[in-house]
Amino acid sequence: MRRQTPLIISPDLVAQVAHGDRDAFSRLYDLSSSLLFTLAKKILNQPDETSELLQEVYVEIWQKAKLFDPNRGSPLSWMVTMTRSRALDRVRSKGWKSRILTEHLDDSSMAQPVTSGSSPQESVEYRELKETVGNALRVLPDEQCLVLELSYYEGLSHREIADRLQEPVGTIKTRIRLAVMKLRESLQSYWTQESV
Amino acid sequence: MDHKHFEEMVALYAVGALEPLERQELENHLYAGCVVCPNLLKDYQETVSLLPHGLTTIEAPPHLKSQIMEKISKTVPQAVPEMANEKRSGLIGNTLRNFATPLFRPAFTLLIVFILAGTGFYALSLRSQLEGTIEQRQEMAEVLDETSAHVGVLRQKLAEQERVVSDLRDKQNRELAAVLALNEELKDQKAELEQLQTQLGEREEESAFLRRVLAQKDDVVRLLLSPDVVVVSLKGLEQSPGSAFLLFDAERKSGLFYSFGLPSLPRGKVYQLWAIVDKPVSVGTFGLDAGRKGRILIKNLTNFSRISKFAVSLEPEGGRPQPTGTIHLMGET
Repeated sequence: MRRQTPLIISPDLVAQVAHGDRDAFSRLYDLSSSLLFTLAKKILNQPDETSELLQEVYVEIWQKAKLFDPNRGSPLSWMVTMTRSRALDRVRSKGWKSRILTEHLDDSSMAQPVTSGSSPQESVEYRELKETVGNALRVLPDEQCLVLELSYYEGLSHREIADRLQEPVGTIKTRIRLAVMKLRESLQSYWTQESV
Repeated sequence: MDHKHFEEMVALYAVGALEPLERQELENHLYAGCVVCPNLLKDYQETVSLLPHGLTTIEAPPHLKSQIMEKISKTVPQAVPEMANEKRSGLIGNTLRNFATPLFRPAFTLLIVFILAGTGFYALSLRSQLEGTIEQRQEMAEVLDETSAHVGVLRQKLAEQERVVSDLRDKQNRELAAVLALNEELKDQKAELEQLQTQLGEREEESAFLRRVLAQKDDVVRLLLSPDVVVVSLKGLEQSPGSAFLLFDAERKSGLFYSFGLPSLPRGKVYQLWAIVDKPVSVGTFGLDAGRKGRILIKNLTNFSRISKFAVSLEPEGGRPQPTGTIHLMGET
């Protein structure tokens, strides 16, 4: 079976899910599960926990599809945000420690070339997307990439990052802001497409 | 607060890097109706939602979908009204959704009606209270304005009175300075007056002395001008080198004795002039001046026609009833 890619998820599909359409939900799962599982695994770093979390997330998506507001963002952004938030909640509730500083720029880092992780079943457009995101991250200075990873995947505030890196708070805030702004420019064509 | 501050916060909000208070601050700003930041936040959230695409893809376990599908088969999507903000649903939203099942739907509808009616009544009550509060506030504002105006007038009066008091104080200070100056001047004048009084006393004494001298000179002049004056010469005896003369007006019973060249007087001694009738009668005592001259102004000397001689002797101070010392001068009438 050719695996579906989450390049574009229509808000209509979410609307169908909101009306209890299980087929629509199944399709929504096919389009998003790899991405959400990858994200959850990145944050939790434990396969069993990741599967458990994803069950909770998808049940919540099923129950709260009616709450989705297309004016506030794309469906994929909504689901990614929900998954990240639940995963970080779980990390905090279990008191797991950070591991990113020791793993930064290794095989699991954001800046890793994504071509090695791309499946042959993925669409050409999706591979292009992953390559574009990987390139956008690669051109970021290491320090910007690191603070982005600590905030996004570890859920640390700028002050916590500053404490951990022994850097001024203002410096950390500037790095995060610059990183996000650069990514926005690099990926603009994709997120405008997503939010259509 | 500068809007740029919020714009800078949006990027950190999108990646979840704000502190709780900052997050609340930005959310308040977003809910307040900012037209810029929500779009900016949407852009950033779409951007960061693409970040997981940069990770090496990990396929979900095959059994996961069936497990999830089984779970959702036991539930239905929530039928709550569409809400713009998931966060704002919270506890109340969950409670309402629990009551929105078919079993509770009639009761739920009734509850909603009661709640809406109660809310409407409460809103009207609040509006009435608000109007009352606004009226009270307007009244208080008017009272405050009047009070402020009154305070302004009082302040003006106070300033005026302070100016008057200040002027009076200045005037008082000036007058006090003038009084002190007058006092000093008075002291000076008093001292000058005392000095003048002293000088006046001296002048009066001098004047009295001069009047006495003048009177003596008048007596002498009258004596010298009198046609009846008699002159008596006294000559020094052998042991005395002096001489003297005596002018006498018998009618006026007055005269003038004048001596020259008598020896200087020893301490405690005076010369004494005697008129000799039957026996010596004292006419008066005299001393000598720097020129060793001696004088006696004679008044009320009676029986001049019976006087045969005048003599001068050296006597103890104060004189004696009868001559006791050396006779220095002698003359016959």
